Amino acid sequence: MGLKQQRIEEHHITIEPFYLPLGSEIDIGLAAYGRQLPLLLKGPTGCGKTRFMHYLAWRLKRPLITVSCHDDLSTSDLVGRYLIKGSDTIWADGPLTRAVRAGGICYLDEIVEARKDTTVVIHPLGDDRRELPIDKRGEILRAPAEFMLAVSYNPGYQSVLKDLKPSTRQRFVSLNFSYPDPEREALIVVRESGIDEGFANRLVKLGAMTRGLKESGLPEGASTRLLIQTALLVQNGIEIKKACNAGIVQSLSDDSDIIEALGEMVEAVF
Amino acid sequence: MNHQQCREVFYRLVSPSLPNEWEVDDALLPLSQLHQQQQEMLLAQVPVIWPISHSLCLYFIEYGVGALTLLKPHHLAPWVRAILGAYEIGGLHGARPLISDVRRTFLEPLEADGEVSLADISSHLSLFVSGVAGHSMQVAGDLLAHTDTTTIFLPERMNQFSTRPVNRLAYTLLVVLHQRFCAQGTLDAQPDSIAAGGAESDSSRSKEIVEPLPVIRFFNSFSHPVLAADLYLLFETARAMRWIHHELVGLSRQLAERSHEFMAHFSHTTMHTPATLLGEAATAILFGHQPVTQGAIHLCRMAATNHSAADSITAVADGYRLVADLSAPYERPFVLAFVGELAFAKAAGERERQRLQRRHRFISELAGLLARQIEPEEKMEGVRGRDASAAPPLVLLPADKEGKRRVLSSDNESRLLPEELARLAAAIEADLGSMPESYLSAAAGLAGGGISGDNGQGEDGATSERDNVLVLDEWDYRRSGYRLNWCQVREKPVESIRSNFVAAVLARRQAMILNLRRQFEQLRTDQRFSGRQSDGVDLDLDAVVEARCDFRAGISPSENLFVRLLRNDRDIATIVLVDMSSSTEGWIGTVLKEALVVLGEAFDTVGDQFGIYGFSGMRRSRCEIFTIKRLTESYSEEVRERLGAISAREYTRLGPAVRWAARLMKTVEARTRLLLILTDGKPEDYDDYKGEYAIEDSRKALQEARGDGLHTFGITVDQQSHDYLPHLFGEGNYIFVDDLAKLPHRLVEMYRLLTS
Repeated sequence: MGLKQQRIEEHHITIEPFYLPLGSEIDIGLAAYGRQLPLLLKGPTGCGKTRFMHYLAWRLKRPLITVSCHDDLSTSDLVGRYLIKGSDTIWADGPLTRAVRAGGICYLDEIVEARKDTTVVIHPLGDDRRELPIDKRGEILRAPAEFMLAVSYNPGYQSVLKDLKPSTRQRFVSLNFSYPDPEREALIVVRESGIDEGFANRLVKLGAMTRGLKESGLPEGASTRLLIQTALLVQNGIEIKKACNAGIVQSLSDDSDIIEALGEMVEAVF
Repeated sequence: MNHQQCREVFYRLVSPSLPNEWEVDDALLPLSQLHQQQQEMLLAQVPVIWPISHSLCLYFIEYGVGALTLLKPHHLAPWVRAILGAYEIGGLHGARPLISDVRRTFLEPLEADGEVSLADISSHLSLFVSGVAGHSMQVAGDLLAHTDTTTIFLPERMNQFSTRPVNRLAYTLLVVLHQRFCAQGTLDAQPDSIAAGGAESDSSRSKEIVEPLPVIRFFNSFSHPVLAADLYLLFETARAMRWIHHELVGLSRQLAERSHEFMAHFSHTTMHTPATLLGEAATAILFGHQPVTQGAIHLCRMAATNHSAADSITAVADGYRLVADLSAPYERPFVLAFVGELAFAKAAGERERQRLQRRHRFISELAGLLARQIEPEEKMEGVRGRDASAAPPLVLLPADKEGKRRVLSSDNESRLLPEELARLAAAIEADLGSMPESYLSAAAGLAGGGISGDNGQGEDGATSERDNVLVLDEWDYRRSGYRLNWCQVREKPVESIRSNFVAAVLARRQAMILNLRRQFEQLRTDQRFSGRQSDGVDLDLDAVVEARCDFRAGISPSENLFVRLLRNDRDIATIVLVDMSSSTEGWIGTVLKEALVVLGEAFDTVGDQFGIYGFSGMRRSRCEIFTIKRLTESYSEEVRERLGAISAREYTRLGPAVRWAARLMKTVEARTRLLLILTDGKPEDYDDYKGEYAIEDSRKALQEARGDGLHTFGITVDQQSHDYLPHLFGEGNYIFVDDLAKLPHRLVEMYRLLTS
């Protein structure tokens, strides 16, 4: 089939991902890596957290192992477990263990979605001990200098119950991400989708307008990612307003009033 | 959705009615061909039409399909209203043409009539302008278009232009123009010459603005103040239009496309009066029409060079010299009356009101923060009395590198401000230049001693009352703001009465309760290990031994050898708010009580945390919450007796009850927190808490609760009308029970659906 299978710890990012820095996050990220400190990225959905990690992995030339957290993620899912294959019992490393062994970057996306008893497993890795205890094998894995732990979460998400525990939070160097300013956001949209600048500017204007509805029933406005996707639709020949409807309006809400208002914004901007 | 799914949805919507299957199948056949969104749009109308007439509803579903391709989403509600109106006059025969021939009977008259009413579009127009502004703004009706900076007032109807799209576009134009007047500082103009009079910057000054504002005095210094003000409006409109042409290209294009239709309305005479000159210049600025008169050309040139409100003010004198030579009396040209007016005083008043509101919120929230750190368990009761002299003076520190703000108390302890409070502090500083010391000392006083230092407000403030009285704000939609400390909510116990009511209900509904218990027991799953899984947290020893045996025996062993922790614990807390108004007197009340008894059994079976509270009262000073079952209390015999003792009281002031319950819920640790509201009609109180005001306040309270992470759901048995329900509770967040006898069943069923 021509598909190349790769072990996740060998997954190096070879082509430079496009990342436009909005502040000193790259410097801080590199400094944290140099000093072996874990990284916490916070910010709304689609604002570039994951892209930043890709960029950092490329800069550092380390494999990036991403785990999307969910509320059934157990410690074994991260660390590893015994599996029985035929008549043998074999140990299979989890993604976190693999990352530690390979000296890669382990990126736990949406960490708050994971159960609290699961998140504590990263505690010894997250401080100066930099160790990963593997209880079932009775061993402690010491992380090499190349290993980095990074987690992300969206603070505007869900209820107070889904907040990070202070004991977890206070191990990290934190980077706050938000949507870029209009000029830079337009630049990103142009770079990612290849549309012309004038159109990107208007798309960004529309994005900013949807973010203004925060207090009016739309908790999260259009992310940069949505704008890029819409621009891609337009690049493929979809009529602008239809692309905005499919790419932004309908993706943001099901509420008829909000859809109507977003439609009006599209009409006003394009 | 395929035919079968459409049918299921339909039956659910009309439940408990059970219409003939063949009838429903015929009617739903065309529906199943549509996109899901269109199906949902049409089906959403079923609960509206079904209770009025079953056959009309079936006809609507069957033939409404064709109409959907012609109708825009915003047509749907007026269309259904028109259908129901026609049905009431001419029966099914009268309503049919509106459904089957929607173009001729509905759309064409609508287009021809051309009128657009603000009520139809205000909800999404305000969302639209909020998006343009980047913060929440409201839209409301008034004679002339103007704004007080938080609400944009627009004419109730727009019918000046010949077609509906143009009238609609006119609304969009006006709302954007007035938003721009707020954003570009039009309403903050400070003419230099009289600016020495000083702007209102010290909030401790009189709240009433008695002196005319400097800008008004500036206009009054001309012999035709209205002309001077209109010149300023003209210049500022030009600035706003330049912004529109630059930023809202779509709107600008639509205006250009429709400009001849606008122009047809604003015709010009050749007379050279100030009014015609201004009119001509204004149409040129708004609709791109080329001015021909020399004076108008001059005005347009002047308008093209202003870049701030101060420029416009300076230009007024020049413009005035230009047009006032014409010595004719000045009457506002139509086109400027269309643009509206600049309500300087109203905007200043609004600014002052917001300043006070910010001040109050800042003080009470900061006090809350300080008090919480002194004694965390004081949550419900507000802040109780303590020695006032102990109140430490505070210092607000500037933002640190991460943008965090802290307050430093005299004991040198710094406290981090929550993000919201930090934003509020920043807004106050942006408005007043720096944080007034009086705010900080008032907060310290409030936290320490219950003395607000907040002149005048302390009397009825949140702190002056004794225990278990909570003073809450109320939403006033007319001014788009809260009435601060408006309602006093008291919690009262319900005395249990020995009666056989509960026993009788339990006996009568025995079969149903047994059935419910079974259903709810299925939901009740705690943490448990599940064996023989393909992967899991640990080995399943039994399975391993078996596999080894199998292996030795030469059988291919199973690979499902793990135990997995299944965690289906229901972490749900529910508060049921029961309407105990006098209208529930009689059999409604009995059924309500019966429903609660059944629900209580269900709660008890599934083991969810739940509380039952009644609400009633009279006037804002006496809103009462009746505790039937506390969240933490077990479902005991005494609680059952209290259920039997529920009786009808006074009025239905829903807003404060919801706010009270939401506050209580904040103290509850549960993954899912649900607020069920059981009422028999619209919210209403003895005073002016009626109609739209009551609905808007209740709606706001529900929105606040949702903002706090609560799920809210309304169950109503209102027999008269229920068209306000989607607005009040939000689409999909309520049910209407038309057959009272079915209430107990529907209530429990709803709870099961909501929480499983």
